[in-house]
Amino acid sequence: MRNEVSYYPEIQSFIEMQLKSNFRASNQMGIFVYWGIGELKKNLLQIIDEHPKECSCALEFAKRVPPLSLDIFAIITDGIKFELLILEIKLVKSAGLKEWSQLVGYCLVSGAKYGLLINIDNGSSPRLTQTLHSEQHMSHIQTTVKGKSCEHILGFMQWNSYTNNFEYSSLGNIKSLSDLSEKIISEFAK
Amino acid sequence: MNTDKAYLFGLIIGGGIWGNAEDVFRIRLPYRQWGSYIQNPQRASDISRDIMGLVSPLFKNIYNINVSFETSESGVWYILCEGDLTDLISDLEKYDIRCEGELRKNATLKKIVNALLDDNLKRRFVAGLADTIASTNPNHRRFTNEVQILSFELKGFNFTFVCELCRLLYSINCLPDQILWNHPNFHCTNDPYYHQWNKGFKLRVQIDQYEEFGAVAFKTKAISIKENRKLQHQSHEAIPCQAREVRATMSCVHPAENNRQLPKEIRGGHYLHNRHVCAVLGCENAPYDEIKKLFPNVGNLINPFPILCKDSLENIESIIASDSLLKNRNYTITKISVQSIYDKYVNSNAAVLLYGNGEDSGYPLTEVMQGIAYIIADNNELSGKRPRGGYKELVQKHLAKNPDLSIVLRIPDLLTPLILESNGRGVLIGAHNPQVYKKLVSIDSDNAYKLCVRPITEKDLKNEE
Repeated sequence: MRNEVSYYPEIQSFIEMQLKSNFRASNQMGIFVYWGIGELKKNLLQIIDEHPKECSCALEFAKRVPPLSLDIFAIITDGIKFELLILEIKLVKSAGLKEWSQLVGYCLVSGAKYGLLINIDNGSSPRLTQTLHSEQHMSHIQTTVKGKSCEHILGFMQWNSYTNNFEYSSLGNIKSLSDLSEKIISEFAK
Repeated sequence: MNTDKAYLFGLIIGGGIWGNAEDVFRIRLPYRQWGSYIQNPQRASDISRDIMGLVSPLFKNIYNINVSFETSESGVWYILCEGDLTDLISDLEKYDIRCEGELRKNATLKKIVNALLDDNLKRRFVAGLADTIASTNPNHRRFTNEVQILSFELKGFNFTFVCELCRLLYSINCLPDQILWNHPNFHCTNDPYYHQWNKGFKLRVQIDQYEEFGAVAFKTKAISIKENRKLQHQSHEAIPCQAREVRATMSCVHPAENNRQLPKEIRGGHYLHNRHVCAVLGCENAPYDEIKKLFPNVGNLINPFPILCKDSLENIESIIASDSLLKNRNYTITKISVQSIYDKYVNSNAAVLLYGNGEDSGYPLTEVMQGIAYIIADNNELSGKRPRGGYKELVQKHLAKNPDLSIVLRIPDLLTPLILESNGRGVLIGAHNPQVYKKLVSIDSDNAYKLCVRPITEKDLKNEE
């Protein structure tokens, strides 16, 4: 019986491949993605240390961000600016408001712009489905922190561990991996 | 282009059917028995889940197109796509894919393949195609269960599409095992009077290769591939086309080689091997040198007559009457003991030729034995025109019952087909006659690998200039 952590590498690798392909297809070869598993602050500093040219733009942020235990995160950068993507992976019968709230909390605390709740081989609870369908702001959250506007764009997807492929749910503001790629590309084109 | 569109384009090009309606099209999944809810209700239920759980959200999220499905006992499924198709049509047109009729019949993959910039995008596109047109029926195997095959199956005459798909697979290291071209030289090698040659293309890939390098997104397909894989005891590596031996066997010249539905570059040609077609189509992976090596031996690889044509005596007589070369022969009609032919077959090698006019001409004994088996068989010993359980055993069994068994032979004065008759059935057997046959073959002026075969005449058979 596999636990959820055992799925991390295949999910991370799949998302990475899709992002890279989509950046390449959009002729955006200057966007880099680096992954970390576990604690955000420590891993982020390590990534910056290993890839200073691309990631030192995140150094100030890494110094001030509080320690936070995440499943998987990615720093996406063009060397000038960066964004964070958080993956909250679940292996539950149905992912509900509790799991969604956890992702929201992580994104708010870390300031991550993009967040994906991913349930392995299962979908979402009726309550979460209904909420995300009717309450658009639950997956597109705008905050002001110390006078600075922040945006958090979230989505829910299902990982099919048999086909090693995502099945999209249409829930949330990130509808698909190509949608996530487009959002990132347009962010870095600004 | 993006990774999700690549998958959808694969699905649409593999199975898309467009009619007159502006806001609807269908994707045909020709699963037949494999997908029939009568044959396998659980799988049918899973296919519906694949459509609604995987395909539907993709279409909805990428193009805002709504998806539903329908199926029937036959196992053919249709994904029904409804909505404003403007963006999708415009995207496909960028790649020269025109949304008319059955896309794969006329589509060219050249432009879309150019947009698949890396292996991942290619795999996503191939996954879409595989989910529609790749058959995972375990009957697709090479000789035994030990080498299981995934077969991309297409109707029609789009040779270029098949060639481009093969090259696309090649480019992601997924080396195809064989292409069965939709051409009479492959579907109908023995009998030029058999008209049902238009059976479609099969691009066959070893399942080990596909598991490693290819992709599917439908869980039902993935399960089926894994099940078939379990039938093998070991894994098998594929060999690149240029490193593989090309072994050609004789095929008859078929009138449909000139069929107008065949594309111009193929029409009018005779093909000695499936990779001979690849060479004529100009594929960079074709074994050009190996194909050229076959040409000096072409007299042994073609036959302008049927190699073996089995039918009712009535139909055989009408074939003879319709061909002046056969009709105007003087035939020596003789009764021959089946035992004598059988003894010769058992005591000599398979290459023995009968009633020839030179060392390397005459009627092959193996075909004569097969013809005998067909005409002496009881009705319940035939499956169509094939003897059940092997021709040699069938002849043996009949000789055991009646050692004096005989059949009628009509031996022509020139080496036109030998005629066997008995039991209301008839057989035509074309002679080996390589010295004469090679004179019928020329190389096409526009393509150094395309062989053209002209009809044989009485003069040729008399060795007159």
